[in-house]
Amino acid sequence: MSVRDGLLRVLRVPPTPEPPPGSPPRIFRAAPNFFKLRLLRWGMTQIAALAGLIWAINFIRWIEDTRTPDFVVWLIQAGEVIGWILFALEFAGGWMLVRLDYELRWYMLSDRAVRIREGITTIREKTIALANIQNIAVRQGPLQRLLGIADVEVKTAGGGGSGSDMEKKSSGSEPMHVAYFRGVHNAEEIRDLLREGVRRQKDAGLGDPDEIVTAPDDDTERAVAELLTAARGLRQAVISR
Amino acid sequence: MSRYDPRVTSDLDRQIFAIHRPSPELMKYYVFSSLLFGPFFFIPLIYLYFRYHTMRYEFDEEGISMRWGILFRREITLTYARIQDIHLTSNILERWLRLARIQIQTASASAAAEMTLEGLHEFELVRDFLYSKMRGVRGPAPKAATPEAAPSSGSDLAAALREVAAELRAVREALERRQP
Repeated sequence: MSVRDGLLRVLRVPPTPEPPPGSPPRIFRAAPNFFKLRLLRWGMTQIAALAGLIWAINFIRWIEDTRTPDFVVWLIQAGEVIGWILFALEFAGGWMLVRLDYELRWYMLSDRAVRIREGITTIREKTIALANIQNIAVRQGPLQRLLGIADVEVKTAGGGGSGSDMEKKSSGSEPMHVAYFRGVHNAEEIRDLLREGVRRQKDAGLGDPDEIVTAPDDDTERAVAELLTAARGLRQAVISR
Repeated sequence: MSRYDPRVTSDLDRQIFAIHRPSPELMKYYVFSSLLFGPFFFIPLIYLYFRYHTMRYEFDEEGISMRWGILFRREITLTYARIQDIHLTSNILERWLRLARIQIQTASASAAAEMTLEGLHEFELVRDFLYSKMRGVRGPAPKAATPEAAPSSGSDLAAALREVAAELRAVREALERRQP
């Protein structure tokens, strides 16, 4: 645990995010199976890296022979050691980042807004007002389905979903008008809560100025009644002719 | 028409309106981030140096404006009422310097943020301020403004309706008079 605290201090990861505006939020977390899935992905990367390292070392051993100068052999050996050290660091560091990334995610939902915080090295905190949500989708891949988890996707108005690589880079590799509740086990419940919340909001979420809704006052109503009587009288006068 | 009466400016508003310049830590951040370019570090550094020194923020009752640039000048103005999403992003370096980027977006078609406020230590304060002003998060629309506007337009409408009614009655009378 002390390694974890130290790492968090070095990375300057802020504690729990502030709740979004509105009522005290419900906080959802990623399901444990989300961690398993990420761990699987991490494991695959490690296997690939290990295979690459072993192949490279064997390849170099295969091309070097007795004519190779001593200092080159020495360099190759140093390179091998450095490669192994880097691999070990990447192995441990990667695992810790996957673990922390799973632990330090918050999906908060109040009656006004959604706030999602994720990330360890780059921390992103997205807050989306429910009034601005344009659509909600639930996404589930085959592996996620096997593990009983899904992603809830929340979109606001505006483009850039599948922007070019350059655009993606400038926005920190994440499309800006989308937020995800990643790896939740109760996607349906979250979707229903979101829909309920969105339904309660009264505007279209395009930043229109407040609509001025005024009930017609008594005077106007009397005038309309008067107009109606006059129109009826006129019709009768025409018919009776 | 200003929905935000300047007389009811809160302490938070005053604090935010006082922001005009990014923190000096931003220059440090720019220096470190341009070092990532290795031997070519001076190319982004020159740009970022001028960007830092010409960057100005202006928060007012209606919106934010931000400008920078020395050869190619750029000024962005956003109205609070049009703001749709506000994201806070920070990498390790920024967190060590107590900074974060506030990415502000409207419903436009660009993938990148419309405005990125950089170099503000009070980023959480600014975020809360923007949320209190932006569309959809504000409470029910202030009712104070509407009653004043309604009666005058209502009575105008009533007068016009009465006029139409009087015209109809006159038509009817004319019809009846012509009747044998």
